[in-house]
Amino acid sequence: MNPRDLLPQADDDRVFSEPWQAQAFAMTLALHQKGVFSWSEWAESLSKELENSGAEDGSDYYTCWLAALEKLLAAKSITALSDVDALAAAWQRAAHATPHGTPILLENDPQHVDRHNTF
Amino acid sequence: MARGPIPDTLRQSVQHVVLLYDDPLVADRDKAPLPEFVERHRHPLSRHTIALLALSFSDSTHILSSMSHAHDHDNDLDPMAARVRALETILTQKGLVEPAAIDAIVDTYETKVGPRNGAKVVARAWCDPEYSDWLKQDATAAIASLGFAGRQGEHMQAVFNTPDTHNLVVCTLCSCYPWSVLGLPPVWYKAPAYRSRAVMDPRGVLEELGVHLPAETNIRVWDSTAELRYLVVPLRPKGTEGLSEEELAALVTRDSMIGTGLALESHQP
Repeated sequence: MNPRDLLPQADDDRVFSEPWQAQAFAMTLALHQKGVFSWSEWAESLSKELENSGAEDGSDYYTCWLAALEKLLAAKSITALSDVDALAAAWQRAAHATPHGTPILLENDPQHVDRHNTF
Repeated sequence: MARGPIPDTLRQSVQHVVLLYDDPLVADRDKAPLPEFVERHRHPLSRHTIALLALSFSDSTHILSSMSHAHDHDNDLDPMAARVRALETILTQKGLVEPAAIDAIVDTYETKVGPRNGAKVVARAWCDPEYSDWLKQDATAAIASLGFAGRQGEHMQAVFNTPDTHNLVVCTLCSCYPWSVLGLPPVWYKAPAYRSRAVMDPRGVLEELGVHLPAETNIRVWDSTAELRYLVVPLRPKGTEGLSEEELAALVTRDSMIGTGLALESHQP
């Protein structure tokens, strides 16, 4: 049996496969340093997500990571999941409306309203 | 340059890399990840080579047209990237994170911490019996003395391999890992396959990874937690008596400090 079938990507040294994963990771560390949650609380939240993880090869690890972070912040009444949903959709609309080669700004969202301090 | 039909995976790779080069969201193209299928199929090509290949293929017009076509497209944010941006936007407005601080953390973990820190700890322990004792008794302090302190307030424990006992580290719950000395964990460490099998069948896992231990060697598996993380101190390879600490550190691989490998043999005469 090929060991790679059991331990996929065992020779893969990458730690992040996409930039958003690095940002999600860094935000978690920054929030912990701010004292928003303890590291044990974080580990518990992440463990819960990973228990339900479907990917045997760990490829959805950072998807679980982000979900764990969103849920922990929601549990602490810092961000509501629905706010993240809405703003993520706004970012996607803004991206579509932004000509290629120019920076994507939230203001480019055709449905943009000034959200400052509304969260 | 051989010309002929282009394998589909390579064609996809070329197109992906061409698009990657054209994506304003990818700030540092050399650090940007290659598409998964390139990694998986392990084309021995740098992205630069792939871009050059795109230009040299006999039917490169198709690829080149997709390249110029990309200029006409709007931007696209994939759902996960959009969620992270959304979260960052909210947290920034609340004053809980600063984008510059986030970038600094990413930079630190991508470039400044890594298994070389752990290798220095191991090499020092090999050379200095007093340090080795300290590391055995209070790994957190001994490691911090070299400037590698954890950021999550976790405690470190160093577990020493002996001819009788081999140590293997895993985190069955999530993937707690001694970041301060080993950097960020590799993909396989986070995979359920490793997390479950390392506990149930450590000898089998080691065999598959090419680590063949004598049958009489015990294997001890250490399950990390959020509070306690382990660093394996591998056996010092034979014939390394004359090496400097720096030369020794070069023999200490990341995997040897997780326990899924051994320290490299010295190539000294």
